[in-house]
Amino acid sequence: MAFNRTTPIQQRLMRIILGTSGVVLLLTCAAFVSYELLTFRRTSVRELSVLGEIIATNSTAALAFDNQSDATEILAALRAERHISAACLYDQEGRLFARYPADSPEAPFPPAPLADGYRFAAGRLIGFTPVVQARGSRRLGTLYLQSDLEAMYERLRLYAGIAILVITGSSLVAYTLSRKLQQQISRPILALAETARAVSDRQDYSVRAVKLAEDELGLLTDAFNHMLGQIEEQNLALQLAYDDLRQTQQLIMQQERLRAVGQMASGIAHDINNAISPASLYAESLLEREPDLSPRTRDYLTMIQRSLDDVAQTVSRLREFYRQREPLLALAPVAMNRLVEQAVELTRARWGDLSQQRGVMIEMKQELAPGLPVILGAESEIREALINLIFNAVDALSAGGTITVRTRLVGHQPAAGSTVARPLLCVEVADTGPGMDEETKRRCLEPFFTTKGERGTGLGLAMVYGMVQRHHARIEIDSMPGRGTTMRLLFTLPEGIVELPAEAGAGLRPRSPLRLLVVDDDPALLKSLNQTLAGDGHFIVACGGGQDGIDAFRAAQLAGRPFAAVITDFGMPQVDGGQVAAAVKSASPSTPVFLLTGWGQFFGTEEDISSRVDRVLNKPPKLRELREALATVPAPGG
Amino acid sequence: MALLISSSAGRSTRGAVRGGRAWLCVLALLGATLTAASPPAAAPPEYRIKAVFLFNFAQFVEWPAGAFHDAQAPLVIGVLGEDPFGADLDEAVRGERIGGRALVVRRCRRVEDIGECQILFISGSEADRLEKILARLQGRSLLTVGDADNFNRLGGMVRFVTVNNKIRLRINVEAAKAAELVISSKLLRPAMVYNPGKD
Repeated sequence: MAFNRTTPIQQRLMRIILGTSGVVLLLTCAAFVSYELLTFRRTSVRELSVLGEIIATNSTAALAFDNQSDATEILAALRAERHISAACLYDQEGRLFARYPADSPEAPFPPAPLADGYRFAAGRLIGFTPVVQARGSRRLGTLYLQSDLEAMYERLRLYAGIAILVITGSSLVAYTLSRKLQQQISRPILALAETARAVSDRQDYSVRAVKLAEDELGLLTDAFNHMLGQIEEQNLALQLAYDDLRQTQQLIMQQERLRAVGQMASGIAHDINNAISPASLYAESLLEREPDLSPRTRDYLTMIQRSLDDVAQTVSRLREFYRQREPLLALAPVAMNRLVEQAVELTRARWGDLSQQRGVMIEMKQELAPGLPVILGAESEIREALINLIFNAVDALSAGGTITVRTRLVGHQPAAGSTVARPLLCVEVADTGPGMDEETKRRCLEPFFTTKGERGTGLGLAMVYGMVQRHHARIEIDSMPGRGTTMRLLFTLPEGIVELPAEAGAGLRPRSPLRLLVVDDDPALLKSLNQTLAGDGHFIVACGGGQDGIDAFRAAQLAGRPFAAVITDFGMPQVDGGQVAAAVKSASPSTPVFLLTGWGQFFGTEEDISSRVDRVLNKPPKLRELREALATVPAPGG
Repeated sequence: MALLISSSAGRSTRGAVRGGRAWLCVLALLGATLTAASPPAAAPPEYRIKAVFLFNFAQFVEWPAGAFHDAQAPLVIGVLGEDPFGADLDEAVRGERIGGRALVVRRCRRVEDIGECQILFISGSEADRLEKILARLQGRSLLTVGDADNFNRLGGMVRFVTVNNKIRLRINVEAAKAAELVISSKLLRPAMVYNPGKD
């Protein structure tokens, strides 16, 4: 039974059943017919031999007394037997004596009798019977009979007809029965196949095969369904992992960009800060220490100092966004509501008068929750971030609208890795502008990405993002085209209660002279520091490199004339400020170390450097800040 | 081959020809042509046939037990008068046995001399004495055979009649019955039955 590879299983089953029953029936019929034919042959031989015996017995006298007409008459009686096609008698000498039918030519008869007995030859049954008178011993002649086997063929035809009828009939019955019965097997398989097709066609792993019985096919169905379930589950897990991976990849790309830009910006910032530091120090020093300056000189110096402050301010804004790994962030208690009020006030020009002049009405609403806890952060950074957010909102409201600034505490959302869930301090800046599409929303935090064309730098939100990173805060953006935008900053609250510091008193006097070690690789800056501090009456040892500084410090220790404090630049070739601080602290833990930084470097993965120094001073250094720092140094020998 | 065929066409062939179907076919073909070509076999002389017939009577006739003096007694075929058969009769019975009995041919001149005898051929030489002879044999279980025209009428049982060059039998059933002989009905088939008054 050959099957095409594509033959459906239903047809296969049907063919197997029909084929098997057909073959069985055919074999049975064949066996039956063979048996019948064999029996029939034997019966035919017996019948013919009996007939031969009768005729032979009857024709003894005719042969004995040579009466041919009598013999012919006897043979003529064979007419009654349809299947006898020919017969003849031979006399004692084997000559043809009489024949039947009487008018038949001699040709069909053997010219002489052959061996006695009956046999099948050439599709006929022939036989020779001796003609012997019972009492006598002499053979009188031979009878020849020939049967044409028509009866046998007739019966064969009948059998063939019956066999065909039986096979056809039982095939029909088998077909009808197997159509019903084969469904027991084919239905579950077809259902499975249907499910498999649905799965592969539509990639839909949620479909399930229907189980029809508790047999092996049922088991197969269960296994199949189980497999589908697993695939579905794993598919989901894969999809989640993939989404996760994509998000992480985007985050990393974002950070990479920030890092690249930051590196470039930090280099510039460092150089600018270093460059303006001597100018700033000298200007401040001149203004304070030279009372005889002409009003014009004083005016000019004040202008120079303010310009330098502006430069420093500009540079500081540039550096905002690269400080994501800034270890030197000085955290201080911050009252968020006060910062919000300041930011709103500072931006009033943009959303107030300026927009009104253009005929655009912008309403500014503040919804500030009272009694918010204090957080730890860098006030200036947060303020700047808020200003940026408000600017963005104003820009979005080119046709007017409402800006709402809210502060509140939101329910605790456990951050990853944190076991203690604390409430978060939330600051929102919401506008009723056109909103952002998905693409813009995803990219808006990237540096240099802007929707404002020539007017935008693409740095505003990047700076906000930098601030958020440094404060370990979160930023959320709710926006949809036509539904406005809400930027939300979420700050974690510090552990324990934090008090706001009292306002620092201004106008510190220069203190009693100290023996100081100053280290900086920039000769101009080193010289200006040296002269400025010397102007306050301190004794200065200036070193142009980290290693020189360490050597000088150790030499002074050995000589029994230790330094009261060390002021060191942070970014220096070979041995940097961190190493200097470490060397000083290991030799003399009580000696204060002040770190000057131009924000020029990204620090490696070094431990928190601020724990090893007593204060961090930004470049350009201010005389006031230096005095503040030195005021904390204990008196020598005390 | 040709020898075989000619002998089969001529005289005895019993057991002479053996062979398969191929032989049969070839023989049938050859035989047909030969029989058609060869002249008809010469009919055997009249008395040779009659001699065979005499022997054949022994097979179709049953004698009462009294006809033989014992169970082993031979069946005797007698020839009364001049013997027309010569050696043919002896030849016809040679080696034959009927119902366990041997066959014996006895020739005699006078009816008184026939002795125990079951079949008696009365030769044409006895035509003049035929009536007397038959009358004398009256009452004996003995099949009388002859070829005289009046043989049946005079009480003879089987007469050879020549019809169309063929030898036929005419049987006087009454006479045979009277002699307590049982003539097989099969014998009566090819024979003519004598009707008193006719013939």
